[in-house]
Amino acid sequence: MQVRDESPVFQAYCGNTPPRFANRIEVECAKILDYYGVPWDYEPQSFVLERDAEGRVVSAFTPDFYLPEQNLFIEVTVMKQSLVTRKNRKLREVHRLYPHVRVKLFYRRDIERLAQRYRLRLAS
Amino acid sequence: MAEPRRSENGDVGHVHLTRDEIAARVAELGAEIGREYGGLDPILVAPLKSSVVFLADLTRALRIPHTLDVVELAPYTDGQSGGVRLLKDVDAPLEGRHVLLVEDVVDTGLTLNFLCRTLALRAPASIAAVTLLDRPYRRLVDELPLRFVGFTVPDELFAGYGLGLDEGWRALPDLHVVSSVALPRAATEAA
Repeated sequence: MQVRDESPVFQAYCGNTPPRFANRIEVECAKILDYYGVPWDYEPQSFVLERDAEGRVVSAFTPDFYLPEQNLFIEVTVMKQSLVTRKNRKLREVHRLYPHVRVKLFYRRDIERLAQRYRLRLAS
Repeated sequence: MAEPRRSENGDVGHVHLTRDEIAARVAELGAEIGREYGGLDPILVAPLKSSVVFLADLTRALRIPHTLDVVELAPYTDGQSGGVRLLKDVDAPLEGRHVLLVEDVVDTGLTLNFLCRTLALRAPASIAAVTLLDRPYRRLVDELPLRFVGFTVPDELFAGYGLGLDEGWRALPDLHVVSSVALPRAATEAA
């Protein structure tokens, strides 16, 4: 299900279609990037991690953000640390299969730090 | 009266760096910067407010001719449109000057990156940065001219020595760890 945000006007967004964020945390991360004028895109690329015998995609990883100037993908997860094992495994697979791709995972703790730093209004 | 050590946004915890440890490192930084910038008459530029205590100590530890200036960035308030802007610009022209940005903490690198991009438009001879604390765990901008680092600190929030939380605790002479506040549940739920 997608977030019904108050339709912020993004100025540093590089995508072609309006981003459809999955949760409020992603919206706030986008706002911070936008505020600092860092060009960003939302889910522009999926990385295939596994295919079946017929070549169908069995597993893939789609990072939330891409910063073209930094050539950096960012995945934001709000799961508790104890529940991110699967996501960590996927990230390791990305590093193994696509060693040239730079991905950073922002955990719940990282978002909490950002929320305090920027006093994000997350509860509305 | 002593400032309360507890607020709705966190509690002041144990001392991570004592005033003496900070003073010793700032003296070392002053010597390092003095060696590299001797004869260059650098201008130290600090963003208000958290850096002012560090700036005040660093300028007195720097035994070469230099000048000071400050900038103030508009605080981030819920992603207001128009992006970050300067509430106060530098007073001095920067063209041909050697600029050393004085930061309290470098975390994501977004603020330092913005300052570097903004001040680079003034055609300085060089731009570099010194930070009291480096917290590199969430770095989004890697190519920063971060040339001098006081301390690489663990992934914690800090208060004291100029750093505050909601304007509190800046005057604490030591650097304290601040407890974290959990995300509200509404933040993590899909709408």
